[in-house]
Amino acid sequence: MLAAADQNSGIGSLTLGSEQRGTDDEAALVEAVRRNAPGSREALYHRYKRRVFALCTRIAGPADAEEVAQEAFIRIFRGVPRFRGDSALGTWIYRLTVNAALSHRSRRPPPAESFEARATELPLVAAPHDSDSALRTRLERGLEALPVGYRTVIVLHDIEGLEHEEIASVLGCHVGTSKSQLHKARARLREILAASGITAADVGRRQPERGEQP
Amino acid sequence: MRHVTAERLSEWLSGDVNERDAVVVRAHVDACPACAEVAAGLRLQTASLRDLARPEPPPTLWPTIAGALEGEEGRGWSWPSWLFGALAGASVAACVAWLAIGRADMFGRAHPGQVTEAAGPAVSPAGADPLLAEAEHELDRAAASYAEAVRRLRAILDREQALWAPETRARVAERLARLDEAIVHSRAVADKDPGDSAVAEMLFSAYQKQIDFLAEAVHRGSPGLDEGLR
Repeated sequence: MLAAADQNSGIGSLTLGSEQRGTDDEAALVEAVRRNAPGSREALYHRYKRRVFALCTRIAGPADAEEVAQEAFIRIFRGVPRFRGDSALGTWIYRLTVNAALSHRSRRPPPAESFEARATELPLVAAPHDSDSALRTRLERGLEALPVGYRTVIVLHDIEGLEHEEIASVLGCHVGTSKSQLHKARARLREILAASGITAADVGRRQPERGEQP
Repeated sequence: MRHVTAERLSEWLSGDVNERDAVVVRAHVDACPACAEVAAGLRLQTASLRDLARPEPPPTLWPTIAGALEGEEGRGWSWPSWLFGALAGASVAACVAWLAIGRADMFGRAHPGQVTEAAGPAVSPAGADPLLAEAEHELDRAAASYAEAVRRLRAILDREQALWAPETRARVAERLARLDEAIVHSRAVADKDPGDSAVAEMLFSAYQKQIDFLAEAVHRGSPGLDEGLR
């Protein structure tokens, strides 16, 4: 019997009778989904839901994230019988999700609205007490304002923590392309944030994360 | 002094420059407060991105996905068997209706609404003529079979459409509305003149078009249909 656990971690752990981890765990999960074992699909969903939904939110946009995540998961479950394990399950899931998000974006480009216009919804200089959440919002909006190619790479690398080799596998590009896109994206994001009044000092003033050293 | 670009600084911070260039960039950053600030900003920006939390998916996400998968498997990616039965029933009833109307014609019954030379507009209700009454009954039976097939296909489509883009849903709704209008119009004409085989054919053709469209939408799904609707 499969059971989804640790649903909030985004990574999740899976109980498969005994505590199996890593690739064995992934292989068992894939096999269970292939056999349509009771609860296996839901376990796979809970294991990857936050990663998939976060990617959809940041690449396709928050308004379309749910729709794109549905599409991504349908593609994932349809594709599991053909998944041969040439890449890690997570990388393969990222690939299908990014493809779903990018094809959605190409079908439905976002409404033309400048980041500067949207940025006026927030005060230019964040108040000291809410600087953390305001800066996070600014960062998210700055990401939204990036061209989709830059955004995809910076999200995969700087937020999701993928290595360039994995990004190259997800996007079907060269490692060098992933690197050059990332550096261009970071430089562009810095410009966008600066244009909305966010400076290095503002970013540096962010409140420490729980458990993070001040 | 020529400044280092933010892109180059990002490469340097990530260790993506060769050793010789790294020495040059470091020397510049050590001597240039402006570039040092940009480098510090990039470092903090990257750290802040890493700290961004993943948004929580809505609780409706899994039930929707599970429902769509069940719908797909229930359908087995093939034409539903009940559709063949419903359409066969509709076709048989349509043929009977058409034959009944033909018989009424053959025996020279005046169609309601038909203008005759001697009597002016024929106003006899279909109920007064057994052949016309039979034609009307068969017409109703055929229409009911078609309508049932439409209803069931629409129920499947409604489930499917939850996953489609709003634009595709809107285009499908628009097309269905036009097909609905054609059926309502044909039905109104057929009710006025149940003895007219051309009108009956028009009605059955309108139903068939709607069924073809619905079946195609259900079968091909949003991506395939999107192409066809453009």
